[in-house]
Amino acid sequence: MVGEVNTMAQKITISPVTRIEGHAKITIHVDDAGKVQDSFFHVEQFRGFEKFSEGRMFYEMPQITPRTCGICPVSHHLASTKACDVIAGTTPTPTAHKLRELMHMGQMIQSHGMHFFELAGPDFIFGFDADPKIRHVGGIIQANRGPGDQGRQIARLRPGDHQASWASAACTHLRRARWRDAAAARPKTASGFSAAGRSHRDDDGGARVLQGLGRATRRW
Amino acid sequence: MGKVSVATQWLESCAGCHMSFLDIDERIVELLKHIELSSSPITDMKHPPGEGVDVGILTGGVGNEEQEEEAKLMRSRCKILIAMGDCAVTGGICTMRNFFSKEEVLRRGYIETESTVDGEIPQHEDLTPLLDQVVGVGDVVPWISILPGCPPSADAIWFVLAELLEGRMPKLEGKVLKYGMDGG
Repeated sequence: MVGEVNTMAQKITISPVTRIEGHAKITIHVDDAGKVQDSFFHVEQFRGFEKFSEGRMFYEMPQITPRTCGICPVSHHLASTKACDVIAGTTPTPTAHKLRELMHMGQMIQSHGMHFFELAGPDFIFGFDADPKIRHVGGIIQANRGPGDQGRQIARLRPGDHQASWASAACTHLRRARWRDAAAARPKTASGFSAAGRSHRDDDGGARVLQGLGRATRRW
Repeated sequence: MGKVSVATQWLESCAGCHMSFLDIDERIVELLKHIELSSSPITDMKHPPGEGVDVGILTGGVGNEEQEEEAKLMRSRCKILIAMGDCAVTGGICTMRNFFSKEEVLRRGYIETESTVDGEIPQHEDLTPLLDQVVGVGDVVPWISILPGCPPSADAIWFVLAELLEGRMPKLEGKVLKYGMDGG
């Protein structure tokens, strides 16, 4: 965990901070007597979503905002989806609402499993002072070969993106279908676009999924 | 043959490419029989070791001075450099800020956002200055192979690593070659 020590400036730098999402650096300023004068946690990365999201079509946001964070993309996706609901004046159906919740719970299970077992866990299992060359998920996997094989179990505990992406696709298509309905209800201009903006392209796909969801819901 | 050492680093990115790497799930057990994980955001080794690694993987674009240094350091310490994910390949979503000045972008983020009260743009000697423009890794250092996608699927990452381990340069086509977002 020890970073580079710059004795000239009496500054300890830990950079980058690993096993976290994001890009952080810690600097600790120490005086001649070895006492800490000041310490900083620097969040280094700044990408400017606040600016470059301005003026874009609102329905792009559920695709853009998840790129804020690759570890919790679902939260950003759903937050912007809610904003889209408000702009479009729609209320999600109970089915859509449940799908969103399901998707968010899936992310929580995945994210917690990953944070503990793949990122922070090795520190606790090997101890903080263990050699960084083994103090990571690969070290755990290699230390536990055989029938007990905890490493393989750890990898399995984090269920991957399959469930979440299924729910995501369903929500996206459901949303599109609703926009299509809303767009169809608006008066058309001569160019064929609705007066309030372009109607969404993927009309047929949305309708198909909506029909599929309808059938699935009835079966439940 | 000894193990192939692999170092990874994320630059101006969301970490999603590394998450997609972990999405190879239990195949990581098989992978670790053949590779040795060196410096990476998912280990606690900070930088590629001085003796170098066989494969270096960079994700994310280059948007500040430190990221530029990191990219150059990785290039100088690895034999094969892979630019992984759209941000590393083209600058990706991060390049959307290139339409504005960095002052404009910082002011909007730290001062003008609706929820901010008495905001200020952080300034400190230890903080890395932003570059005027975000660029892909290839604009800073030459890569050997690319793996596009936002993020590239776990299967695509597995394919590239497996090909390299077989001693072949990965040839991306069909499902593993994809720019942009999945299912968007």
